[in-house]
Amino acid sequence: MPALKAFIVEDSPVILENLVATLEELAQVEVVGSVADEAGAVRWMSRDPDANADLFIVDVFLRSGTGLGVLQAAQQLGVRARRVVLTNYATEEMRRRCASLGAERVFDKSRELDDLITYCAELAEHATPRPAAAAN
Amino acid sequence: MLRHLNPWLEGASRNRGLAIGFAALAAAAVMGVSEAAFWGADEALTKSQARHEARNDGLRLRELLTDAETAQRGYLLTGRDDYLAPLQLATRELPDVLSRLRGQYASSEWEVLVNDASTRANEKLSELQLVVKLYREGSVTAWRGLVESDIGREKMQAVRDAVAQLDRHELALIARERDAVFRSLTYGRIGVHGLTLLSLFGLAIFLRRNEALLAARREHAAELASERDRLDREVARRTAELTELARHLQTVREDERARLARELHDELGALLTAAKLDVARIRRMTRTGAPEIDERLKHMSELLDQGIALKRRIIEDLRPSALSNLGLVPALEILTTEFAQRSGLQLSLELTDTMPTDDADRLALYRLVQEALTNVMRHAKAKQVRISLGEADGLLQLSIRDDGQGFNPEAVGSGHHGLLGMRYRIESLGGSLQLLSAPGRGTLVLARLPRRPEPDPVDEPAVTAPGELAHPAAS
Repeated sequence: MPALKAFIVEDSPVILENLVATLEELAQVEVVGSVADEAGAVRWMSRDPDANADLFIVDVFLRSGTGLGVLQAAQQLGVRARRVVLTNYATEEMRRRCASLGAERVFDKSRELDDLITYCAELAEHATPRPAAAAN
Repeated sequence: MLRHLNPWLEGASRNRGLAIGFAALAAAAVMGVSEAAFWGADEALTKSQARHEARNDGLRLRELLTDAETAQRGYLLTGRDDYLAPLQLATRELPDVLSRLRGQYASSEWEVLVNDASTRANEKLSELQLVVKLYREGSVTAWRGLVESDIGREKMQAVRDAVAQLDRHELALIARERDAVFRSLTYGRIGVHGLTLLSLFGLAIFLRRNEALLAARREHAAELASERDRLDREVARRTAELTELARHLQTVREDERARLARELHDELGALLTAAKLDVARIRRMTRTGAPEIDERLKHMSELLDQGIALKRRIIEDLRPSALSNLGLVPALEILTTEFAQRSGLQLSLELTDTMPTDDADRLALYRLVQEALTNVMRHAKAKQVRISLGEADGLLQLSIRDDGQGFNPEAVGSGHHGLLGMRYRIESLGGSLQLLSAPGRGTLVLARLPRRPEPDPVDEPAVTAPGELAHPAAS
């Protein structure tokens, strides 16, 4: 029973498709939506900052705008959901920036994919009772 | 005539020896003609002088005899002695006059006549003296007979005729000498005039040739100047063309690199990441059952990581992805922060609102900062680096200043510091790059770029306003 609601900001359809499948299969994550640019993500968050999702998975380099902009918007909108970054550009400085913009974790798109899956799985496990109970 | 002479004159003016010889010959001719005229005139004048003296002697002879005869008559009429003075004078002077006359005409066709006239003159004088003597002695008949006889008159007439003949002869000769002097002077005059005209002619030719030479020289100089100007223009044109070509090639190259980077990131990156995800899924499925398979899948995952790392290295080399995706300000902030961490240097970055609007400008400035920081790390031994990007005098200005050991830019040249390529790049964008340094004084790299009009805001990757992202770096 997928319990963790995740929203993905990712501009590559190939990655998106595989990521959704992987997370849903391995981590009991329900992907509730995805966009490919900053403006779409901000629009989605603005609708209801609290109830939309438990987790935002954000890519930094987007078709237009950046993941940093998404994180900043989330911070400004007071989104309570956890935000994590999945990027090809996980340099030290980028990690620091993302952290300062409220990202809980930053995952490298190659070496830390397993960590993301594990993180999501743990999150789903621990968080399951509350959102699931609320939903049902 | 001038035209006819031209070839010959040209030959002469070409042959310096010939020209000098010609001039010397002309000068010698002038002097020769002048000397000949002088000597001719001198000789004629000397001869003429002698003629005048001879003529005077003839006239003097006649005068003496006439005066003597007149004196005798006066004495005979009056009997007073004081009438006899001219006769005494004639007695004194006549021998000299006669001797000079004889000398003058000795051994000439006139010798006989002169001798005869001389004899007659002496006889006449003797007769005059005899009559006076007879008168004093009182021999009236005797002196009267002598006076009345025709002998004295004939002798006097003969002397007069001879003198008249000589006088005419001398006058004729004097006229001839005068003609000779005149002729000589005329020749001299003609010669001087002719040679003066020849000199003027020579001078005119010299001046004409000189003028032609000067004109040719001026023309040559003008040709050289115009050729130089043409070459200058050509060089400027070619330089402009080459600059334009370099800029074009740079643009093409950067466009191509950007396209490659994008494709590597979008396509290859996505495929590799998708493959990684698949491997992760398979591993979780098979982890418990088959350790050998898991081992192989782990290896495969590592291979994929290596592939992704390689792809990232290639992309960063092709085009800094932070610049492409985040914009110049965040890209510079990331670059400088990472550099500070890596090098341990104290690094400050000052940015204003003025940012380049052109993609090539942004890339060039980013690369310039990269290159300058690499130089600082390699050579400068600096403690602090200050980078500032702003506007100055209507131009975009980027400066990178370090407090390192510096160097002598003239001794090593800008190529040494790897900035020569950057100089061409900045210049091809219409800007300028200066490298200011001195030993012990640090180094300042100063780039200026023209400001460009704002482009239409299409799908630029860096839509995010710089200000919105500024505070994380400042914190």
